[in-house]
Amino acid sequence: MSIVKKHLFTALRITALTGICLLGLTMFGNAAPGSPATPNQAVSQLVNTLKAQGVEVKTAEIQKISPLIIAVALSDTHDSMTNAVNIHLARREAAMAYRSGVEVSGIEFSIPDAANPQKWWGQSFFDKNDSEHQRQPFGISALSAEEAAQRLHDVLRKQSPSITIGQITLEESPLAGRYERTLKITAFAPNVGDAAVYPSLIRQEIVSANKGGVNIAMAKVKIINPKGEIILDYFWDEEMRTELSLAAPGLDLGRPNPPTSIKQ
Amino acid sequence: MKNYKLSIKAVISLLSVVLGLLITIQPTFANWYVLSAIISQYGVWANISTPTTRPYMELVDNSYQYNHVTLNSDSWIQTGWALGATYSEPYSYVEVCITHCTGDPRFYREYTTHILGTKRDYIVEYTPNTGNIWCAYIDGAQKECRAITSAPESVSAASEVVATSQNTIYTIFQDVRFKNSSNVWQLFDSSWPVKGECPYVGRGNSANFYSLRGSCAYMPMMVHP
Repeated sequence: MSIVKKHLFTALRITALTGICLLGLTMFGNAAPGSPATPNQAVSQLVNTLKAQGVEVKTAEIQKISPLIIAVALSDTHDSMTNAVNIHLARREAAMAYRSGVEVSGIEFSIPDAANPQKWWGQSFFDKNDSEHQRQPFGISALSAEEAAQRLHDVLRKQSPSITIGQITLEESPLAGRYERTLKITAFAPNVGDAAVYPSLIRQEIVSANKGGVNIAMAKVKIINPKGEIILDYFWDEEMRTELSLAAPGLDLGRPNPPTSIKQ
Repeated sequence: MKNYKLSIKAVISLLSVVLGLLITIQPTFANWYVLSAIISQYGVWANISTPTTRPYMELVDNSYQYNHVTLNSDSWIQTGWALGATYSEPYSYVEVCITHCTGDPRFYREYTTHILGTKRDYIVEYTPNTGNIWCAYIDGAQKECRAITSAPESVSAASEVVATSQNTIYTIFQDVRFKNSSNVWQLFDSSWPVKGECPYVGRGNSANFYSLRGSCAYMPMMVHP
C-alpha cells in the first residue's frame, strides 16, 4: 500500500469514528450509548432534557457520586400541580437515564423560595426491578398523533358518555430520538362521582392504545364541573406507574388513606 | 278541592327535592380496615405477605385492596402492596400525601409486582435529627423520602379495602414493629387485639396477625372515620 493510500485510509477511519462519537453525543447528551457517563455528564444530561421539556432548573449538582444521586432545585411555577409534574419529570428523566447509558440511583428535589429552602423537598430512589426497567422504550408510532387522539376521543366518549371532552391532544416528546407522547385532556363532568372513575378508564384506554402502538407515556387530565371549577387535576405516568392527583373534597379516586379513628 | 291541589303540589315539590338530592348525592368510596396501630412512635415495620392465589376483587369502580404500613397523621407516607380489581397481580407501592392532599398533589407510585405467595418487608421511618423527614423502604431499598411532619406520630399496619366489601382479603402481617424514641425496633404489644371493621377481621395479635373477610356477627367494631 502506498503512503498516500495509507494516510487516506487512516483519515477515513478517523472521520468515521468522529462521526460515530458525534452521533452518540447528539442522541444521548454527553454519553455514548452503552458506555457509562461521568457524573458531571449525567447532571448536564438531566438539566438539558428538563430544559427541553420546559422545566426551569435553578441548580443541579452531584449530591453523592457512588451510587450517583443528583440534587436539583427547580423554579416555582406557583401552580402546585405544575410543580409536582415538573418534579416528576426530573424524577422520570433521572430514572430513565439508564436507557442512554447513565445509571442514576436517586434524585433529591426541591422548589425552594427565600422563606423556605426546603419547600417541595423530597428524594426518590430507583431500582432495576422498578416498572420502567421492565419496559422497552417506545419506537416510532405508525399512527399520527391527531388520528390517535381522535380514536381515543371516540372510545372515551363511548365508555363514559356523561363526561364531555372539551379538548384532547397527543403531544410528541420534544426530546430527540424519543417517541413517547403525552395525552392531554380537558373534560367536563356533571358531578364528582363521574369524575372519580374517569382516571381509571383513561389508564385502561392508555394500555389498549399502546398495544396498538400509540406510545402514550404520560397523561394530563383536568376535569371541570358545571360551575367551571377544576374538580380533578390528574397526572399519570404509564411507564413509571406514577400518579399525581389533586381532587376536590368528596372526590375519591379509591387510593388508600390511613384510618383516623386510631388517634385515641 | 283547593287543599287537594295544594297537597298534590306539596307532594310534587317534595318528590322534586328528593329526586334532586338523589341526583346531587355522589357515590363515595367506602374504606374498611383491619388495623394494628400505636401512637407516638418513630417508624413502623412489617413483613407483609401476598396470598398464594389472587383474592376475589369485585369489578366495580375504584375497587382496590391495600395492605400497608403507614405514618398516621394529617400528612402521611405509606408503603405496602396494592391490588385493583382490574390488576392481574399485586404491586408494591408508596403513597405520600401532605395535609390530606389538599394543597399539594397526592403522590402514588407502583414500583414492581409483589408476586403472589411471597412476603416483603415494608418500612416507614422517621429520619432522626431532620425535623420532619420520613422515608419509605421496600425490602430494604429506600424508595421515597419527604419532609412530612415531626416525630413521634401514630403509626399502623393495616389491610384496607376500598369501594366494596365483597372484595376478599387474606394477608399475613408478621413481626410488626415500631421504632421507639431510642431508635430501637420493638414488636407491637402481642397482648393487644387487632381491630377489624365488619365484614373484615384480624386474627392474631398486634405483632403477628392475618386479615380476612369474615362475617359480621360478634366482631369487635371500630369507629369508622
